[in-house]
Formats: sequence, structure tokens, C-alpha cells
Amino acid sequence: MSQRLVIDPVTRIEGHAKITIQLNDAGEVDDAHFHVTQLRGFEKFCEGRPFHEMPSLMARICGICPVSHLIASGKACDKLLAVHIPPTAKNLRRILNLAQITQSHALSFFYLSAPDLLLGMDADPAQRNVFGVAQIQPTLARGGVRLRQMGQQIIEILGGKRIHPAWVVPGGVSEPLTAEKRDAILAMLPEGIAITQQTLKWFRGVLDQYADEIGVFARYRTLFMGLINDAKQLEMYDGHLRIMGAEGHVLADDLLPDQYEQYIGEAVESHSFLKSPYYKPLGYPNGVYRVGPLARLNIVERCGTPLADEELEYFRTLDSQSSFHYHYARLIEILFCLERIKELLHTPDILSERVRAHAQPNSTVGIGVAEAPRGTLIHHYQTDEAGLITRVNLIIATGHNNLAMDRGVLEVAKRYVHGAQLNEGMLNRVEAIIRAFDPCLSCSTHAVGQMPLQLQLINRDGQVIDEMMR
Amino acid sequence: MILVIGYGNLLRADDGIGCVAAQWLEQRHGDWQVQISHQLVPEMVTGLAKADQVIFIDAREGGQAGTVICEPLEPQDGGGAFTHHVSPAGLLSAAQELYGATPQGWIISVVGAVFDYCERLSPALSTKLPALLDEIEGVIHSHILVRE
Repeated sequence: MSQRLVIDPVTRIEGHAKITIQLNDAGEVDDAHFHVTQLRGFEKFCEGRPFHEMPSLMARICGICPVSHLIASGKACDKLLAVHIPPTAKNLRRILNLAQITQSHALSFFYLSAPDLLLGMDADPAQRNVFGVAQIQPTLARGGVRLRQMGQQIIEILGGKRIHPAWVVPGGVSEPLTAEKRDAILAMLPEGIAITQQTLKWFRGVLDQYADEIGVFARYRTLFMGLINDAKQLEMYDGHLRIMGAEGHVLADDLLPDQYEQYIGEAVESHSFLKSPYYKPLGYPNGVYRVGPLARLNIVERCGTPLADEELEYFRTLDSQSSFHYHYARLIEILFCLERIKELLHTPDILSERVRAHAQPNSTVGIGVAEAPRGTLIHHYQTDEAGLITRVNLIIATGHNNLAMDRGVLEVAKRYVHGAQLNEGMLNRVEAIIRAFDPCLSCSTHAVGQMPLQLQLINRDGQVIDEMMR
Repeated sequence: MILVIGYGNLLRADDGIGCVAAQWLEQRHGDWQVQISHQLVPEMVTGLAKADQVIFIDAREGGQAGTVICEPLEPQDGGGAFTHHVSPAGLLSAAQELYGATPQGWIISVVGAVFDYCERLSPALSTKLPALLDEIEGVIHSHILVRE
């Protein structure tokens, strides 16, 4: 008789999810799925609101990456105003976004994944936390705390508060940067860069211990997508979208973010509230792609900052298809972010007081695209002539990765799950593949009306033998 | 160094009393380090590591509204500083584990009456706020600082 193993809830991710693994008669994995079981509804309840409220409303999607939503929403609102925001405002937004990526990556690597990486996935779960890390590698644990704090402090310096800052507004930012604040941020950066370099050195030294996981962790061929600048370097705020094939060839380049609907489709699966975006020309589900740190480093030719580019050289020797290397990519991106913040703070006009373009709404469609910590973030608003929101479509980084995570779960389950006996190490490996993507489910579950609440009892032949719906 | 951390949700009526109290103490005690936060976060551990005494001020449910309760805290292991449910005791433990720091910890809880959506304290607390703040300050002086 077939059996189903359920891991519920998945721990150490942002939000709530469960994984189900379907076993066949022989006790081997037949199928597996990653389920997102929460519903938010942001796309629906924003309808009717004045467009200028959107940045603040969108920031409330998440307590981890509110800044990413602020940035994408601010950009979408700029389009509704049909203005070019002042260059200083753009650079200040860039710094805010880079600080956000720094703190979020630090959270993911040091707090959520380092316990597995340092202590081993078969370690006692009671020890597999940051305290366990602190006992063996106190420097690593302290570094993680400091890096996250640094990202949060930069956000607070710029935006007034760590979580849900209201500094990004349609047309730019609400206040210019002062010399005092600039210097405070600059003073932090050398420490952050040093911590990141030390961590990269340590992580590089232990990668060999994870050869098995590297070979299995969602190691399959997919496309990769992300923003890229004119120099084909890492771009977190602006630029064009590039889609790269599994063999490393550029499949589509210089795609206009505003035209995302032409090349990104959105499917809905019955087992999850998470949408399943795909690359339209390849259809569904063949158009599965990955976004986020691994994808971004795979699609660029250079990072564009000296230290990150040095690390990228080594990264190029790693298996670019293994989702395990999201972890390594995350560290390189922290390095890039800190270097780039320094560069931006030294631009001549960074203290300019021209930081906001004022206008009335001049368009009824606004699309804002930026790179969030977990990947490409798309905000698409439509308004009526009075500027009231009539439609919202959000494609969140975690959503882009939905199909890849689903396949990752299956690959890992096939490798590590044998028979009906569960053990912690195996369970954690299944969960760890999800954590490698660093999914933020709070952000990604906002569709409403697309999937009824459905409970099905399915036998091994796939027949629904009982069903509840509402 | 004395560190005061007032935390709570200012959009949830009396849940924000810890923030209100901490803000008031900050104005009166320039030599104290005061942090005001929506919630406890892991990064607060760096502040704890530098403190001799850390005083958390929070709201609690149950009992007579406006009652002030002061309790000593002991470090509590188990990752409680690094999850969505960061606790004062977890932060004390993290300070010890990460930095070898052992500040004395206290939590002052104020019993609230209303925790619904509201940007103001309930009448049960707001009408006696001056006396309540004096009481909190008095508790710090009589129960906590006297043990220095």
C-alpha cells in the first residue's frame, strides 16, 4: 500500500509550508511536492487604494524584505507619474536595496543555513542552531549577527527605521542624505567586507564535505533569469532581464522589464498557493527557471566590483546547476553589495538635495522591476484616471523559483528517502533544499480567487476517493 | 551600562506600553542606553553584550490593567534568540554564548487592557500614564539598580 510522508511545518524558512512525499508500493519515492499553505491576498485588497499608498502597503507584505517591495513599488509608481527620478534619488534607492540584500542574505546564510553547513545535517536538532554554531565557530556566529545588524543599520540610517521604512516615495525618496549619515555608513563597510571575506574563506574550505548534497540538491537543468546592466554586470536595481539556458548560453537578452508579460507566464498548481511562473517561449512546465543569487551570478559576465569579481572567478569553477551553491552565491553578493554601497556613497552628487520628482499621475499603468534578495521582483499596477488602483499583479522571487523548488524536493527525496522510516538527517536534507532557495512565503502568497481550498484523498492509482472543498 | 529595551506594537493599543515607557525613560536618563522596537530582534544581542544590566519593558495580558510586574531573567538556551520568537531570556543566552557576556536581566511587564487595532493606549492605561511611568521608574530604582 502506498504511503505519504508529510513534513509539516518546514522549519527555518520565512513563512509556513509543508512537503509531501508520495511513496509507491516498494516504499520508494514516487512523487514529492512543496506546498505553500498560507494565503495573503495583497493583490486583491489593494484594489481601490490611491496609487501613492502602494509603497507603504506593499512593504507590509513582508517583515524580512519590506525594502525590496518598497523599491519595486516605488519604481512602478514612478511609471504612473511618468517621471525620471533624480539621479541621486536613484542611487540612494540603490544603496537601500543593497543594504536590504546584505541583511537578508546574512539572515539566510548565518542564522538559517549555517547550522546545517557547520554542524552537519545529521547533527542533533537540538544543537543545530546558531548557539551550536557559536560553540564551534563563535567568530562565524558573531560575524553573522554583525553583518545582519549592519544591513539593518544602513536601512535605518537611510529610511528612519529598520522595518517598513517610508523613505521611498513615488518620484524618488523623501529626504536627502546628510554627510553625517554618509560617513556613518562608510565607517561600517570595512568590517562587513572583512567578515564576508573570512566567511567565504571558511566556506570554501568545507565545500568538499558536501559533495553528495551538491550533486543532488536541485541539480537539474533549468533556465536562469535576472537583471543585468549595460556592461553585463550584476544589477540589483535597474537594467534589462537576461534569460540564460542550462548550457550557459544566452537565450534571451535585453528584455524590457515592462514587457514581462510577453515572456513570463503564470501557471497555478493545485497543491500550492504559490504561483508557478515560467518562460513562455518554452511553455509550461518546460520553461522552468531559477532566480536569485545563483541565477544572478550565472547570468552575469562580471559582478562589477573588485573583490566580488575575485570571488566570482572561484565560483565559476563550481557546479553552476546545483542549488546548493545558492549559499556561496549569497556570500559573494554580500561582498558585492558592501563594495557597491561604498562606490555609490562616493559619487559626487550623493548629498544632493534634489531627490524627488513631483508630478500628478500621467499614466494608468506602472511596472516596477528590481532584484530582491531572493530574485527578480515584479510589481505591476493599473489605475483609473483618478489614480485609484484597479489591478495589481505581483511576481515575487520565491514564486519564480516555485517550479524549481518543487523539482528540487523530488530530486532530494529520491536520493535520501527510502522506505517509510523517517530520520532527522533525511528530513532535514529535504527541508534544506528548500532553505537553499531561501523562500519567503510571506511575500509570495498573495493571489486570491485562483485556487479553492481543497482537500483530496488520493489512492496509489491517483483516484480521488474523498474530497472536501469550500 | 544600563540598557533599557522597550518593545511592543504601537498599532495594538496597550501592547505599545513598553515603547512609551522606554521613550519616557530615555528623556529622563541620558546616561542609559535605550532601544525602542516593534519586536525583539537577534541583533540586539550586541547591545546586551556591552551592558551590565538590561531591562526589558513589555506589555502582558491577564490581571488588573496597569499592574507593573518586575521579574529577574535567566538565560534560556534553545535558539530562542534566532527564530521568529525572540525572547528576552533567549537574548541573554545568546549574549553569553556569542560574547561571554552575562548582564543581569530583568523584565518589567505592564498589564494591558486592550490589544486590538488602535494607535493609542486604552483609557485604562492612558488615564494613569504619569503615575504608571513613575511606578516603572521607581521599580527600576528600588528593585534593580539597588542590586548593582
